[in-house]
Amino acid sequence: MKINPVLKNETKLAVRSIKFTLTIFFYVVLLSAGALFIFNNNIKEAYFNGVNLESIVFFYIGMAVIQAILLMFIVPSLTSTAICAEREKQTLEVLLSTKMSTLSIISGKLMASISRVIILIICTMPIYSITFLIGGVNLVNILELSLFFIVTTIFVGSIGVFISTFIKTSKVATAVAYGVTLFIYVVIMILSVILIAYNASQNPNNQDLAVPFFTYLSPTFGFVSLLVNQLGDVSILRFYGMGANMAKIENGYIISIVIQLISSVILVLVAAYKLNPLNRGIKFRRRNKKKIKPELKKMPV
Amino acid sequence: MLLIKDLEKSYGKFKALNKMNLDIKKGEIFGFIGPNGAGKSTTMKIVSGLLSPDGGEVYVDGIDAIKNNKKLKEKIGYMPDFFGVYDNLKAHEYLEFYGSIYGIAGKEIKDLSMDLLELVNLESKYDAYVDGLSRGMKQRLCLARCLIHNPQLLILDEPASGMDPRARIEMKNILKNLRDMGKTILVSSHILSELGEICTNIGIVESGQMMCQGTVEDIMNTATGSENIIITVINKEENAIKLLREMPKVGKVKFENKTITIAFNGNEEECASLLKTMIINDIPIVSFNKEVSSLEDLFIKITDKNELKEAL
Repeated sequence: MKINPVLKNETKLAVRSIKFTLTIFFYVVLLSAGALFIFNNNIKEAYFNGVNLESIVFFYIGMAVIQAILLMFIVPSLTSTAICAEREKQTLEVLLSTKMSTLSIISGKLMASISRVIILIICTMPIYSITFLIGGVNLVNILELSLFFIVTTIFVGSIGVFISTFIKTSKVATAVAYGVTLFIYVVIMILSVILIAYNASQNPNNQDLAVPFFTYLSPTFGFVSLLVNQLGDVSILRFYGMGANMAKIENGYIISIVIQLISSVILVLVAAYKLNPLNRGIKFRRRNKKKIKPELKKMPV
Repeated sequence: MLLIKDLEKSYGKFKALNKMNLDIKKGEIFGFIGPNGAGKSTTMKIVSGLLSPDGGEVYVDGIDAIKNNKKLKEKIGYMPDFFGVYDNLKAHEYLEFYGSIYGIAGKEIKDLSMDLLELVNLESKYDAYVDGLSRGMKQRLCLARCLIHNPQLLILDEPASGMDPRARIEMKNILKNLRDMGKTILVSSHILSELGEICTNIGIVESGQMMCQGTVEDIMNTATGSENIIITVINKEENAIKLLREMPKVGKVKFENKTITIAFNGNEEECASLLKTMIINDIPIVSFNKEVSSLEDLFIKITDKNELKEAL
């Protein structure tokens, strides 16, 4: 089987660097610390009130949230410099002079980043297995969550590579990638909650409020939706519902996954087009404002 | 092998290439000479499929390079003037990476990497990390990388820039070897004496246009209408200058640092006759030499717009 040369090379370079080893180390340490903290809190309660069977669900949610936040910080940093770094190291021109297509270069870069994130996710799987001690969460739930994280990694990774193709310096590209990621993870959700709350205040008796369409662009919505689907109407997740139709939220993760995958394909294709030196590029032209003749300015309205 | 017709490229209002024409035959080593900003690198990038032209045609081995980019890239090996290498990669892995792009794998790529490293005198660096190599070594490694898919046309943009004299000699010898292997090479350099030694043909570019192209000898003969003769005499300089000014075929006569330099338009027989006349007239001659015109002189002469009109 022919492996994408860029993927093969990037993976080789990544595993040789101390940076990747340290990333795995700190990722597992942070997640383990979070797991210990949440688990310890729940066990303390067990001495006085007995084992709360729902507590393991909180543990699972807590772990998933920590992992989602960690990935939100890691993925943009892995992908936003993919093309910029090649440009800065002056290796891009040589790569483009070979017969490799720009789509292969972009997809190789993206796959290399995804493969690193998959390694991180696999490394944390044993921590999730703590949930099996009491029950309530099964292996399928963990695999579904991991799959969702991989889809989100593809989506955020595509955004990173896309930005990296358009912006020339790594620092600026990383800053922009973090800004965009924060926007889609947090700002979209805040706007969505505000809109749902506003609609709820306008129609107090309506129990079937629609989730605004733009909400599906945020992986956070898909993430919440997946947890609701897996764990049912858990009290901790109810805050988001705020009168919205829970049935719609439960199936929202499927729409979210589809939208993320379609967006990723579009972003990768546009990035590949932009990277091709023979394409004239995508230019954002300012519209020329029509000049108003001085005599017309003086005319009374 | 390479045919360029009326190639045009502008960056905003600056016209980098203005109806550039070029014809390189198979097996030629073509030296691309011109001042900074003349359009050498732009031409090379267009030929390598890294830049789209505004107009004109480019054919590499009969293939339309602008329309068939993928086919073109199988036929060319491009080495840019500035390039980087991947950290944490060994010399043979660097070559294997580019080999894998062209579908060369397994034992074949390992053997090929060794052969190419031997060709560029880097066989001892097979297992060395690329970022630990000197600049000259990196440039030779990049040249080996260009050859990984056995291209018919090599495009080398300033391959010897930033190298010390020893590294330059090594690079020159490698290019000579490639010439003997029958590769067609388009090479640009500022070190014109080296180009003169290795190139079969040269082209002088100025303001995005090809001013002249041909063999080094042909261009020298066309451009330099007259040649300089340097004469050293003892004591009787004034008599010598007076005599020389009266002689036919002698143009300007200059006296500087006890040597007389004359512009001479005659053939070899007339030159011998000039020397004979001076001796008959009792001029004590110490030395009588033709000034060797270098490629640098030719380059200055042709790119100097005032002298250009005279030269052409």
